[in-house]
Amino acid sequence: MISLGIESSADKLGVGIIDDKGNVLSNVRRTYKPPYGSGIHPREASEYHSSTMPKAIEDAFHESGIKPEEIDLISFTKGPGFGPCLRIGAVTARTLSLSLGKPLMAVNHPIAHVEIGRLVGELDDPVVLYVSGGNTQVIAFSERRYRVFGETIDIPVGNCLDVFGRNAGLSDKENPMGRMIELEALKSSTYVSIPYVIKGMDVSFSGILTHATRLLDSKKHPLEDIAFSLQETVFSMLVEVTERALAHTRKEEVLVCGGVAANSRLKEMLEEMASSHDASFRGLNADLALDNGVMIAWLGILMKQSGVTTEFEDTIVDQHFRPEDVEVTWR
Amino acid sequence: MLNKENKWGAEAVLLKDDWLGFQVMKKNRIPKSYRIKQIDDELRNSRTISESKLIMASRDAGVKTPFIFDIDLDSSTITMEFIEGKLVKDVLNSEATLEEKLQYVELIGEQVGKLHNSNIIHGDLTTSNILIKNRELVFIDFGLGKFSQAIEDKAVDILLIKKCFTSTHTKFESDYFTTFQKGYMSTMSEAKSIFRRAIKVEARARHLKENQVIGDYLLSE
Repeated sequence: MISLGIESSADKLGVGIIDDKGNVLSNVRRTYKPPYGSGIHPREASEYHSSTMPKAIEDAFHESGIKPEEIDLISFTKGPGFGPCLRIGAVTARTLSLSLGKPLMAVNHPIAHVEIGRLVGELDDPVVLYVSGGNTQVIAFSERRYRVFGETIDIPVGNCLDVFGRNAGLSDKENPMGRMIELEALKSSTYVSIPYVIKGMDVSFSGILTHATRLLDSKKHPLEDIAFSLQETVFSMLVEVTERALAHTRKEEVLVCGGVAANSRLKEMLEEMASSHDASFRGLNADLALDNGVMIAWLGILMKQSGVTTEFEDTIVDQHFRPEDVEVTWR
Repeated sequence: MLNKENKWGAEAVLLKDDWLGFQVMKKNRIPKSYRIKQIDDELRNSRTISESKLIMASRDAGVKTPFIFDIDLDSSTITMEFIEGKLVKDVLNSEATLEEKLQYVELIGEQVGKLHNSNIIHGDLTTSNILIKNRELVFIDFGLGKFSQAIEDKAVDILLIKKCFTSTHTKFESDYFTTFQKGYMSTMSEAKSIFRRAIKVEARARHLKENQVIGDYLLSE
């Protein structure tokens, strides 16, 4: 079985093709870049996706050497994400499905991250820290569902770092904002006190962002000290919640995915934590850790093979689609 | 001599020990090598102090907690009474009758109401942090707790136990949460305003509309 996956939940447009053995045949990704100093505007990102989509699909077929009629399944992200962006992916998927006469599969985005991590990282049953500009969740499998053990109760961690970087006047022209903050943080080892906010298994970043921005405005500390302290604080919180989920579930593997997973300090801390619990740790390369079409295609195959079908009427996107809303039939 | 029993939690090492002839549990917040020293020292120190204060204040509020024998800040260790009891989590997942389970859940609600009346926020309210001994509840692990009058903080506590029912006691989650609220309302006069805030926080955190979660709460007069 060969599946084509379309991912368009946020700023990234992904078209990926994978077969049922797990061979990645193509992984095309295009990224919408907002104007300097502003975040992603959902409508503008969706306009970017709709104008980029035809070429991205062409490129995916070209890269894989697969003909459109050889595809067996069209998978797409049902949610969560920006409504206008998700709808571009859904409309494209429906169109391909009708014109090629192939079945559709609507998939959950965070679960797709977990499943591609299990495949590529050769993991059996990991505790997953999913950290990006739009999501911050600790996910683990329990009783036929992927359950969210802990999550942010306000803004995602990537959003906190992005906005801090913009407030500090950093540019994400050459590197993603997270990388820019990481580079600043590497220059310092001076810790400035920043609130550490954990509520049960959940984390909160909005107050931390305000505090860090006030530290900037006070001009009492150099940017690198604040960047270092901010990173150390928010990552410590994330690793602590992941550790608590690991201890609670008694699993033996830790996986990190999403855009913030590119940060080497976060990976170092997770690895240290995992080894203290005799658990193994895996990160993924950026091509599959960031949003991509391959993971959507792969989850589509898993669902299809376990007997799940998506009726045409059920292809409406869901901006608030939760992992635990999906019954896991494939493991 | 007791059998020394080591148990690794996420945050601390628990060691069953003997202290001047009493059976005790030593809770040692070990250093976490993944965190920088400044953050780690501050967290271990402040959590040891605040946990001790909260455990004692809870007792004054009429909620049973372990007796504290000793606090050693140098090693971030609290030496407290060893509670020979069962975890509520295990009892709720046992073969006991639903009626008996619901009695315990209602009792949890009553006790949490008492804590909140005294502005004690547990901070990690799950069925793994409540023990049953001689049919009485004993609350443990106040490591993430604090003193607060804020409605929001009390609402977050309510959401923690709700989430725990959903993730760990899926079969009867709605019965449990309803019964919990009944118990809570019986001891906590501001219960409804706490529930109303919990709805707001839950909707915000889970990206839902308030009317998608409101049905889980007891708000009718």
